[in-house]
Amino acid sequence: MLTGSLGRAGIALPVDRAPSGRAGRRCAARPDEDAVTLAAEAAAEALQGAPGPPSGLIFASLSPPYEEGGCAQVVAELTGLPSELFTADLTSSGRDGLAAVRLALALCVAGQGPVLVVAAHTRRPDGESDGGDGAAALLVADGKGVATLRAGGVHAEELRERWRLPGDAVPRNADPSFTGEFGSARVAGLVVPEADGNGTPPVLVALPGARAAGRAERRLGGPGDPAVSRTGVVGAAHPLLRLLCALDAPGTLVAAAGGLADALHFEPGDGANRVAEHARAAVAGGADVDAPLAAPSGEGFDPYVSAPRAWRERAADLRLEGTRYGRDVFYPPPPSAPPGHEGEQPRPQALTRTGTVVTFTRDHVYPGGDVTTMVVLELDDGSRFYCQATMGDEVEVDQRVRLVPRRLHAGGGAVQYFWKAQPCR
Amino acid sequence: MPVAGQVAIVGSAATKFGVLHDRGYLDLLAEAARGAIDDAGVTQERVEAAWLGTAEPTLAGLIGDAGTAVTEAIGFAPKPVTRVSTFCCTGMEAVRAAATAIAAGEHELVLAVGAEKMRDVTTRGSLVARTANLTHPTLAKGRTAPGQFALLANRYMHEYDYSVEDLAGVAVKNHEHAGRNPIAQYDKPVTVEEVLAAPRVAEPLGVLDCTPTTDGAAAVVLAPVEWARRNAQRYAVIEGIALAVGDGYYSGFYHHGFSDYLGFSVTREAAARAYAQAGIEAPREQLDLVECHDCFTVTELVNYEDLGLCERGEGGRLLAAGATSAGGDIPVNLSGGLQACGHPVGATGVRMIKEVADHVTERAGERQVEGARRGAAHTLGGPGVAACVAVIGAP
Repeated sequence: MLTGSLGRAGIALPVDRAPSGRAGRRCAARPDEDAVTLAAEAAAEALQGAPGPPSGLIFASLSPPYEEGGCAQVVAELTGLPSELFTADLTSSGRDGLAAVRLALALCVAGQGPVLVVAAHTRRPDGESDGGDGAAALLVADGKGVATLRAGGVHAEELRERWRLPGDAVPRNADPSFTGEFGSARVAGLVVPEADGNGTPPVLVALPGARAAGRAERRLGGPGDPAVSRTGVVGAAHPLLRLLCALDAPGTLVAAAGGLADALHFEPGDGANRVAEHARAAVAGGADVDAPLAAPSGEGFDPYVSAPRAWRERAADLRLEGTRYGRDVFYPPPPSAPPGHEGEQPRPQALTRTGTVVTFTRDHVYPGGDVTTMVVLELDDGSRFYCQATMGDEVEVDQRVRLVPRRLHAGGGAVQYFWKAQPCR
Repeated sequence: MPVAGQVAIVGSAATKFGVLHDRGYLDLLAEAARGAIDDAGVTQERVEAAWLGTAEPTLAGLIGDAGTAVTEAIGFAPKPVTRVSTFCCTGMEAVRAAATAIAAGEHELVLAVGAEKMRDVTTRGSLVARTANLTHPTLAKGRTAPGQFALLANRYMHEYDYSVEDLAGVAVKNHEHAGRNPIAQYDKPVTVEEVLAAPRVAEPLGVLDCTPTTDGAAAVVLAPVEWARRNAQRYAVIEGIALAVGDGYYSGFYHHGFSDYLGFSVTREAAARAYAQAGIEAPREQLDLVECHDCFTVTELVNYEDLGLCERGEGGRLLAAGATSAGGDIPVNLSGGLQACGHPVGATGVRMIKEVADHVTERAGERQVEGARRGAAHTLGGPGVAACVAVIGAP
């Protein structure tokens, strides 16, 4: 039996909540956020205070910034995980968030845990009318945790409900009269009877569409999805978000897409209430906006890109590692010992992620953006840092900020990730 | 033999500065170089070596990426030519390197020429923009030249309670000065209101707080003072010259303690050394004029302080008192400075030295400071990681 525990969890929901039709509001990422940066923020929260790094990281997303080549390794770098790490990307449907949990349980049972499952989504401009942006992360382990997780039923059949062929900008959908009767709502029901020998506990259903999921869940005796009217359907992260919001009571979570379905049973343990309350507060939070922040044009910005440079500098750029000589931290790592530190052994040192604005400017001529706010920070460890402010946020001298992973631009055909200063809220 | 007091400027020339679509890089270089040699009253055969300052050959199709551009422009083969590049200190560093060769006794007459062709491509169309990810790690994070000095401007205003009007005063002064300089890119005065109404570049700096991009060239011919005494019609003396260099882009942005964003330690270092060579202990009293690196309005204010013309934090008040305007007790940037004379990067430092030399040899025309005996020139490079200061005096 695939049983394990939920050790820790993290959630990253963009602060902006934009109108989303009848669904109410949805989380709307800023243009410098994507599935990787949201995943990295959720992962960092899940790993905060963890006794050690995980052995694996499974990234699930329907909107990966890199369709080929992998995103899990970028999340791992941004999260500062060691390079001896199993990673996998699951990118075929919204059900993959829950499929990743099953894989993580299997790895833990095989002695390969703990495994960090992180699922993230950014709404795609293709008619995802009830879609939202966000990420959730679960650290799956063996032994005791805030909840016990037990893999439930599975199902697979060839049933094309929504799909894309290579090059499709917009998904193709089967006849609604067919999928309404035989689609993912039906398939979700196929994995429920196996749920519990003592009677079916509350069933939570995550499907690609909010309305279909709500109808299916009510048929199965579930409570309905209170989060979706505030977040939208957050792709592969949605099953995990539902799990965390409902973690303070036993239940079964079902995720289905097309002809595929997975079920997961969960039992709360010590700390489950705190996790659930945190998740529900994150869902309820944010600030309502009239519309998502528009992306800068970046027109005419076509810089050369260098894979060797990006690889060489990944520790500084993605892991935010400087070098410690004695009591002094230098960033980026200097090529040789600075004056006064000759002969000393350099050691990698992750920078503190909080600091204070020394000075700033709103730059109108940086080719990568319309207006780019640049800041100089005094970090709390005493080191100096220079970076952009998070898109859409204003800063001022002496303001407190925290460093968060963001994308700078994708000019030249490669996504440039770095850290930005976000005003402390 | 040290440079200070031993090397003379015996000839100089500069092209018109501006948007010069009718002339290419080599045309500008040749005009300045030949003009300086003619001004020295010698034949080109007498000039033994040359130093070329060009900072951004990528802006001009890679022309100027080696000293051979001088050879090509004026037919200088097979004499040695060396290209130097130190950000915006490039031109003055070409002069310093050439002067060092004179002082070493290696040559008797040498040429230092700076040239830049910046207006053949738009800013965003240049190779500089395309290499944003490759040139230096910090540049890929969103750095621009006006953006780095705007960081200084906001901190300076915050710390010393100045306003954007105080910054704008620099542009007003220097544009007014440029009206008396026939080579200046701009010759019309501007008002504080116009400076503040100009499109924003990097807040709080607008277009009129920034140096323009400029085509142009300038050159000087150097010789030992002894040679000048015997042969030159007129000459000025390099009484002190020093270059100070920080460790690249990292320092300015990342290293704690390198910059307080209120001034530039490299300027203070270079000034201290050049002043010591020239015997200057009270710059405001001992200098008759200053040409300094006003790449942005705020830069001139902090330069006043770093060059010792006033105490730290007092730059804005020195400007407001009129001390640095024409007719003031320490006029600064009578040429119009980078703000209005223009800033062809490799040429600027050479042009500044020519400007001060013209004053101490009473050849500065309408700009002439009466009875000028000694002045200083200053350039600042990169994000404040290189500075060169020269003190030029009458014989």
